[in-house]
Amino acid sequence: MMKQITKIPAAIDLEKGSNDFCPGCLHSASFKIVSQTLDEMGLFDKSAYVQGVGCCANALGYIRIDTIACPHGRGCAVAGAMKRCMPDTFIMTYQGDGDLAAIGMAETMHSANRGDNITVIFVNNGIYGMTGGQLAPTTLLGARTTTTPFGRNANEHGYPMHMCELINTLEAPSYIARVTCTDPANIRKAQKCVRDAFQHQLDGKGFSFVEFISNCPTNWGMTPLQSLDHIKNVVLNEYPLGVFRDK
Amino acid sequence: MAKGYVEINKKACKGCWYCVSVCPKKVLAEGDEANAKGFLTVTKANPDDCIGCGICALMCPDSALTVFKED
Ligand code: SF4
Ligand code: SF4
Ligand code: SF4
Repeated sequence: MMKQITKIPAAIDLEKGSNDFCPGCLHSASFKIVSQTLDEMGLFDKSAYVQGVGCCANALGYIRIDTIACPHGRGCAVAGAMKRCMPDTFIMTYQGDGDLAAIGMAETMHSANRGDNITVIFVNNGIYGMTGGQLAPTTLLGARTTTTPFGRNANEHGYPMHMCELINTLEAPSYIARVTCTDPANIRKAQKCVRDAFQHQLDGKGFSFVEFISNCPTNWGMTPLQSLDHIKNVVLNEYPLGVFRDK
Repeated sequence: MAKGYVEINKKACKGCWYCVSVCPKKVLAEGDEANAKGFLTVTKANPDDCIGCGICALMCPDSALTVFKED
């Protein structure tokens, strides 16, 4: 007898076919891990999340979780308020780097500093994907984008910003980790980190933050498989993986 | 008789070939058949070699694969 050993998470709706992310976009992978973890921890029908602005919104219409889409960058502020009003609901934000680290820097840092009891899923692909590949705060030095056609140069554009490290300078946050989904071993580690982050919220410990190092094959000008190699060989040198804090 | 079986949801597949790159038994291969969205979809080159390890489904970002294993 053949037994089914893998399951499509309850939060993922494939009735219309695929979501709107480009082929190989690891946004799909991080959404899948979040959805699997909601299932595993029995949180699927007790959760709501704040949707960032940008490519992450391509998940709308294929994700079966209550969602609020808020103004650009304000995810953590909205989520913190939701958690205060609905303490029994599991609250996440799902935001990209343009959203969380550029326009939303103030809201993100203050929410972290208050220790809002929410979980933030931060997807860092080092570029503004949806608007056509502009420089983001997280873009690597030397990387060509449509607004840095000769590559990011520190004198003119500053250095890549490291959100885990920045948040790790604050007193209140309780869990901070950086993961990636480039290969099966790292996917397993990412699953564990998301589970741990969710547990921090359930235990009322405060702000938990998981950064996914992601890709954008479309704007990086690479095939999906090339973009995974680029993460492994280049991006991870700038953004080391690991658990920064686990209180 | 294969020890495992992988079911492909062609509607959800986007032809990223991540599953092809991780399958230890070379069961999966880059296909040339497109779905309604125009994405090429994965195909099975050696279905009888599948061991039902589930690695392909773990790696597929788009939940297009479901794996069955001999009990
Ligand atoms: S543009 Fe980039 S980030 Fe946006 S869906 Fe496509 S690959 Fe993903
Ligand atoms: S279950 Fe394992 S052997 Fe079978 S197709 Fe998937 S990766 Fe290959
Ligand atoms: S990993 Fe998934 S989406 Fe990519 S080719 Fe394989 S089945 Fe299709």
